[in-house]
Amino acid sequence: MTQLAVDVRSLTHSYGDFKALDNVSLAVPNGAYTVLLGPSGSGKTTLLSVLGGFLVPQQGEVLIEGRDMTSVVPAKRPTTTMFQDYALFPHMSIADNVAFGLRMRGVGKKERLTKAMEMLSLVGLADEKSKKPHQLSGGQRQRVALARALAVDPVVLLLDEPLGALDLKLRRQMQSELKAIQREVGTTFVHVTHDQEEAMAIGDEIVVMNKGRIEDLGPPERVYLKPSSRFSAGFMGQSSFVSGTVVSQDPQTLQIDTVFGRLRVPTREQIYSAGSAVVLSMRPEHLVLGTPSAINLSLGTATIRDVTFQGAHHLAKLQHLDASGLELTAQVPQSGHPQVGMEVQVSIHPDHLVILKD
Amino acid sequence: MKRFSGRSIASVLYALAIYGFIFLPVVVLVLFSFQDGRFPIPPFKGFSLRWYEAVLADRRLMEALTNSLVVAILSSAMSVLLGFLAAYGIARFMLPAKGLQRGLLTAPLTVSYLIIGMGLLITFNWLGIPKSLLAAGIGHVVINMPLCFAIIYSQMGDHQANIERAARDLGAREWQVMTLITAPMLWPALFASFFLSMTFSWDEFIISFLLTRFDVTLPVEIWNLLRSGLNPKTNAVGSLVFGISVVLLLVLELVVFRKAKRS
Repeated sequence: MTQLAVDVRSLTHSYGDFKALDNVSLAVPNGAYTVLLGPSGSGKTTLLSVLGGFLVPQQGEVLIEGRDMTSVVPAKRPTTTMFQDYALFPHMSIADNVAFGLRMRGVGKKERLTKAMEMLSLVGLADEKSKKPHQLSGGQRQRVALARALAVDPVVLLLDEPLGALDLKLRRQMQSELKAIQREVGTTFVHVTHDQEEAMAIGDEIVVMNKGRIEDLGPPERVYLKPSSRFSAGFMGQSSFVSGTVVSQDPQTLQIDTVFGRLRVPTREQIYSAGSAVVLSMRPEHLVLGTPSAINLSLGTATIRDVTFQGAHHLAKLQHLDASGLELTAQVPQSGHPQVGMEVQVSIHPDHLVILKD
Repeated sequence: MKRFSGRSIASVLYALAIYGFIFLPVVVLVLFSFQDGRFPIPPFKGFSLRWYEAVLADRRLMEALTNSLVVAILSSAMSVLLGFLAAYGIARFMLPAKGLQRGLLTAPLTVSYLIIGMGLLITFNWLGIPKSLLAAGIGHVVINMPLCFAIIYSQMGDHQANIERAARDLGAREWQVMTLITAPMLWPALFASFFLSMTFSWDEFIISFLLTRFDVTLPVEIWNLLRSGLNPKTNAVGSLVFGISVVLLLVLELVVFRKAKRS
């Protein structure tokens, strides 16, 4: 049995009328890198504070390695937090910063400094040990904060938007470093971010949150390719949404009426009753422009209204000809030369069509 | 050719008048403390250190000076300690009627020393605490603690709160957070409030006058001297008091504000 590093059950917490957490349950396996993803106000930071012990939830319980930690103070938890603003101790050297947690645990000076040096080597800062935090760059401070949090061998490391203050290039670099360090030490990481690219790049598991609830949860590929809610589909990258009504479902085919006409797609695990409202979600890279191949579902004809060049590809905004007001976003290859005003046929592979309950 | 306009001459004169107004009394005091004669009034008859010798030889004055230093150091240390604890409590914990408590802590800043001194005199009388240096010291804590609180509280921001949170997260207990993290982070504010308290306690007169009897502080002893009329000895001791105040302010400037600017 793999033990759960974190097991939270039915957490609810409100600030006044605002429900920051609404009956949230989440299990994080040992050694996983989990990312809590969501817009601001989604409850992700509140959930992290509850895990770290900085906030006692009004309802629900928090188990860490099977022990009830709901109202245990941060100091007595096997968790450490890496703060967004690093929160290094400005009056202490880097080595003393990293050794602080061990000092609080009564570890002798020699032993704790040895361990601190080990952690500093892990993050590549062994040469900076006698410097003060203000002498380091943002990325280096980041690493010191990581080393300090890891030095006490926590069961779970909580990272509160750790890369938010860094510029884009440094952020991408730190993402791969964080992931590499997590693999090396094997500690369970729970990382909060609002950046979906960061979440996909770094997480073994992504937990998409919105309005205090968990919208979706799973490995990045699954969450991206088969999002389980409309919010999740929209937040994890771009999507075009079209509503439809289920006509019938049999073991082979699911039939849905949409503005494109009746679509026949391979049946899904989910059972839909006839007449139920659904939303079809389509990723830009899944929409095919040009004459549809035999297997693709035709979505009719649209006019290119706007094109933006994204480097690796173009992104075209399409205005559907039959359904007024329906806008689709499609990806066009770098060499595609899409022209504004062009009329194109649009199609999609049936497997790429994501069907969500409305 | 450089021409001075009427306006620039006027502004120079105005500046001279201001600085003269501020510093002339001190200059006169210090100058006539070196008077080689019996009266600290013009004309200046020559330079002499005899009045300083007289001051240093005066046992009562020297005792009063020591008393003043002891009262200043101990009452300032106490003010900083209490001010720090109050600031920490109000900045970091959820307390009932926080705004009111903060207001009550700083309110004594607006009350005149005379009123505070009278109030303490009546209270101590009622409690049976005799007039003493201890009583004056308590009085100085009453006037300086609000100042220390205000200075230290103003330096306790959210950023520091987060750093304290990190320390707690790493296993620090509350007293360890305060002594190992908060106090060292705030040391410029702690030193600044300590030295400011020192300067205020050092030349505070009215509270000490009301609350001491046999052992007195230096300003009270100087007042005793002045009752028997002006002589250059009072100027000499006044210059000493002024000199020590200047030293305290210089220490404050050099040690605290320079460092604070650098980091």
